[in-house]
Amino acid sequence: MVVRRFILAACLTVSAANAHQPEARLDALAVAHPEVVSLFTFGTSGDGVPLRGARLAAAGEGPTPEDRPAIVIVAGLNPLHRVGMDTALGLIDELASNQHEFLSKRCVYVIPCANPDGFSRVERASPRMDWPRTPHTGDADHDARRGEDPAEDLNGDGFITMMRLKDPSPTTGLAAEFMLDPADGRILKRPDTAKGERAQYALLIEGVDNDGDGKFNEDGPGGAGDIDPSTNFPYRWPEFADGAGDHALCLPETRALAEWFIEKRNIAAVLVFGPGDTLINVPPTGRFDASGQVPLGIEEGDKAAYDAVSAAFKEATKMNAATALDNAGSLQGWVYAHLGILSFQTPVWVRPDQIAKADEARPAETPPANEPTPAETPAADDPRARLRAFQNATPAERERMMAEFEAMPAAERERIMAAVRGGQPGGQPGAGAPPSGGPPAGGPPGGGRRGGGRGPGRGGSAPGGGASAGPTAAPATDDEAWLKYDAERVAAGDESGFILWTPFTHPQLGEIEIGGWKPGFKHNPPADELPRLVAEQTAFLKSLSTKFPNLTPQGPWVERLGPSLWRITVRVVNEGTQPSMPSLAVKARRTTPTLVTIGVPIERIISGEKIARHWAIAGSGGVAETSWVITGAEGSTAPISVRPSLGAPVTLNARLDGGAK
Amino acid sequence: MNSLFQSTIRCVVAACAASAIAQPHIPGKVEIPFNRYYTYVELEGHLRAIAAAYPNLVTLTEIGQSLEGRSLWVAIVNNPATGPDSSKPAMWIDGNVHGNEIQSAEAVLYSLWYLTKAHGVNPDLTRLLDECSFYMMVSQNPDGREAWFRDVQNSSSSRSNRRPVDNDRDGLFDEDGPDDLDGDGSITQMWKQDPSGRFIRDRSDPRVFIRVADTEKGEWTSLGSEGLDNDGDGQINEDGPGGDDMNRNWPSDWQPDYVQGGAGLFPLSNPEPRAIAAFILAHPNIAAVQSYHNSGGMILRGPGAAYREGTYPQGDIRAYDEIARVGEELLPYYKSMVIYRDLYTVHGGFVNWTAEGLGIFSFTNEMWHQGKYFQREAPDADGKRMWTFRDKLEFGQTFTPYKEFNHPQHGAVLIGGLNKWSSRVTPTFMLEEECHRNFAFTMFHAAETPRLSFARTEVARGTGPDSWIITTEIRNDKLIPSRSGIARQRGIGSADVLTLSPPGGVAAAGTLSSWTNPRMDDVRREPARVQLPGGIPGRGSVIFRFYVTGNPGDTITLEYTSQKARTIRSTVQLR
Repeated sequence: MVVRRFILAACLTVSAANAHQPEARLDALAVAHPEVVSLFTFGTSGDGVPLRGARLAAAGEGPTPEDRPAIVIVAGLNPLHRVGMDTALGLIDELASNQHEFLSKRCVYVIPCANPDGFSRVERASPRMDWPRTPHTGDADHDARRGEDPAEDLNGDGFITMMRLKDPSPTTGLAAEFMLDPADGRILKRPDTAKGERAQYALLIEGVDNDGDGKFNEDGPGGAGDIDPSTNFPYRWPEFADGAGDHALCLPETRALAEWFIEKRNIAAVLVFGPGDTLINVPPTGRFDASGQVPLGIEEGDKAAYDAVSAAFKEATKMNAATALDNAGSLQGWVYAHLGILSFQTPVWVRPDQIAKADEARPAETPPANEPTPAETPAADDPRARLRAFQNATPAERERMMAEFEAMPAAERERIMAAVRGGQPGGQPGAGAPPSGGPPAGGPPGGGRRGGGRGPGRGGSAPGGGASAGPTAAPATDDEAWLKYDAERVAAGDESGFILWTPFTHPQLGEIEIGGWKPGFKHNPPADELPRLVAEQTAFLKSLSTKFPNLTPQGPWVERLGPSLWRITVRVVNEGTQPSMPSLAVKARRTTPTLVTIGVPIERIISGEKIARHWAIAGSGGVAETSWVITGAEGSTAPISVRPSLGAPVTLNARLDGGAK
Repeated sequence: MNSLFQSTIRCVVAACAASAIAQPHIPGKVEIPFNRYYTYVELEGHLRAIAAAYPNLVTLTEIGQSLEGRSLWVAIVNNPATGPDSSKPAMWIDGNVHGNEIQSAEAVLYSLWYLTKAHGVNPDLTRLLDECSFYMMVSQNPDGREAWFRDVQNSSSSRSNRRPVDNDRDGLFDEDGPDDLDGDGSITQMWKQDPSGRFIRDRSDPRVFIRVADTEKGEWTSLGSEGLDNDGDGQINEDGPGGDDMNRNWPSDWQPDYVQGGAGLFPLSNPEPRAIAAFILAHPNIAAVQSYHNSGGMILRGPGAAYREGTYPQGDIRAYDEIARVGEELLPYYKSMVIYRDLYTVHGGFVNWTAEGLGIFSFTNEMWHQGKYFQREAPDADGKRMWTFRDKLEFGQTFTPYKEFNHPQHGAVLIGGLNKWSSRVTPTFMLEEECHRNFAFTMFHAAETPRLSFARTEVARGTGPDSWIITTEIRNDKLIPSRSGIARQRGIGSADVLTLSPPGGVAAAGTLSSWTNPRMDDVRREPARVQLPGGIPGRGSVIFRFYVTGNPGDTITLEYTSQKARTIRSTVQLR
């Protein structure tokens, strides 16, 4: 066991050389587009890698880039989400190559790989594991031993997947909590005891109980003590939950990112590429944390802006379903609820069944998280349907089916075989073919979150997916929908993302099966999807940027009230769509409001504040008016500075000459 | 040699005196007057002197630097002859997180000074320092302290750190602080004669301004704190120096500024809390915390917010209440209080983090109560009697007489009033007593950190030929459990562990509810290494039973480890 642990540790250790692929691509993009792309460094990772991003801005008549309304894109905080990093890098290329007009008025910051150490671990790790967290040798199980029970790749297939154990005996200390999904034996689900269903299986991460405490893989790399960068931000930081860390921003990556955001003064919107969604599933309004002041979702006053952005996103991507997430501890939750900046997360890519068909009416309501939209019935010649039918058949029926199979043309037989064996390691042909006495194929747990229970209030569905049953023809659970999608990919010639359950003799548990989803499969599409995703996000960014507030000073208007007594009026008009500041920013009072200052000594101001502060200026022509009565000599000038909450400062001169301007 | 001889003589003399007098003077190698206050630089000098005088007991460690670059010192106080500091239950004692609450630093310095000089002289304190270690930090906020001494202030200013903050949201930082217009070294009050004013001056004592009834005519208007419109925006003193309230910058229940004013940019955003948090997280042996503040005479515990009330299990509350009850006896006029219930709501407070985030028994004492002036029943502090003490006891040192001043914005005004030494800071002639009483309370608190022992161990023959039954009771004589209820409930730190290593192995193990009930609560896994998530309760015990295999005469070692107590070992022989 010591040897195994050593091997695992070695596998999880970052190889310094050639580890930072997105970094190299970032450099190449900067070299390729020097007129638009400039790189910046905002910190150093735990392993000493510079944390970097790209600023995109083209020369133009607009203000300097740091005064232009900016969009920030952050990817790779969850290192399993490769599609986010690739799309972010693709966006840099696309914007820099083809979107100079857009970039002449806007500034875009792209941080394509916010967690380079995590990226290296995920890319280089062998065995590979569905684990987005940063290793932290703590005492996750509070047993006064540190990191003593990591997961192991017992069957040597290069992946740490899952173990399932049927009818666990009392000596294992395990309880059966799952049953086979009647629809597909690869999937496990929690039984509905009201319907008379019974639990038969225990489900565990692959590994042994190294410390003999009856718990498996509960304390080690991949254990509950590891820290999740995606829940490490101070907004509703989930203290005491698995993955929360010692305190918010305890990781160098999250702290550096937070400090960078706090420094910036021109950010209008933030888009996080990660596994969860807040664009299809617009966060709720009217709900607050225990203090009664911090929104669990968004402020009522910001709903219109969020809805408009959501509509623009759906228009650009046709996405109509995605997995919602609890914002607790998230980057976008923090950016919104503490900094007062509109912010969103999108998985960028979703399953095809979660994209609206061209001729399909847009659903009136956003489907709840994890609930797949109705999809087509599997075709009669769907190999997976055949396999499932075979698995559910009686021995006599199986014999008949095998005969039918043998009678098929060779090409058809090959197609079916390819489809059902797709997930087998080492390309063992036929290993997953219609079974010849092997155990029934079974099911893995749901999404990417795995291992020890999540704390209360955290995201992540229970193993087996949490969706309610849809129409009979549609996949009833998220996992079924994934299997259906997997079959489509296999039919198209891709490898299966599912490793079929195979028997294994466990040194402590006896006869078990090992199998499940390949790490990252549910996050990342085939590479040929990337151009479409980049195009969609480009369209979304352009659409988003048209909605920004646009604060334009008007005036001054000067009126003579009497000898040396003048009224001066200035307006700031919001020519954009969104209010000058989100409701949350007005509440938070953290950002400087729009300031209109008259540059005459206070003694000359008869009426009005020397510095007028305008918080929210409504969108679509909203006006903030500032007016003073001052003394001054005929023909003299009163300078007025307008410093918008977003945008470049402007100075106006009010000439005291009696005529209205 | 001569000096060693002299100090030995001193010890002997002191020891003899101890038996004869209630509280003799304990001579120290460093003499520090506690009838005055010290700047941070002076405090640092005393820390170095004590560390140099008692090198075996004190290690002065720089754990980081403040925002303005001052060293953050922690004095690690430990007797290495009885083990490293990390092997003992420890008490963290700090002060002065609020820069203006100055006597809290002297209280910590006094504790360090007294504890070191008493070691080897006073039996109680010697035993305490042999059994516990201490981490003492005189000031969490040296920048704020230094500014309070150096700059013109009032009794409440310079509470925060020195991070520039744009208080009035005009895009400028710290551009309009108060100004010492009358040159008395303090920020006092400005008054303007005003036929429409709502105040009059007391005829018998014109220092006192009295609000008149709504139907009466007044003569004076308050213009607030002494200062100018430095930035010409028509406002006075609207954006002074600093800063974040560093007692709102801690990770547990941290809330942003719009919920908790002064919270800072994010939890541990400031270098001082960050360095302190790293030190405390690296010392899981800390079982007790005292963080001194001023003022009001309070012995405060968490929670800081009503919705965290459920965080404290009943067992923990009993220990808190008993420790605080003794505190009320040692500290006249001090009251045991709960922060959110009896004071105000605090999000992200230091002791809220140590108590609720780390499960450490933590108090904040608010030093100084004005009742101490009177030494009788607590008076009405706003009454005229206060002037008796200001005038007769302090000889007017906390008051600046009103003077006329030609203010550039307001014209002729009066400037004067209570200065920065009034109201919150313990009068210097009573400082030593207040430091000593608080020191005594923290020594009691430290003495109630867990002390474990094998109270009773018995060996009996089992049913098989080589089988034996070992039963042992582990006792904690102190109020604080070896693992707090909060730590157990929230999964903070590690469980206690009792291990046994008989050559023949352990067949089964568990706990007994009493010596008379033989049925055991079986641990099922790892019987040779029993985990106790709840530890040993305060002033209580746990009885363990092991079914072991071995030969007559075998010696078996029992070892009990806890993060908050010294490891204890015992051996038994099978016979």
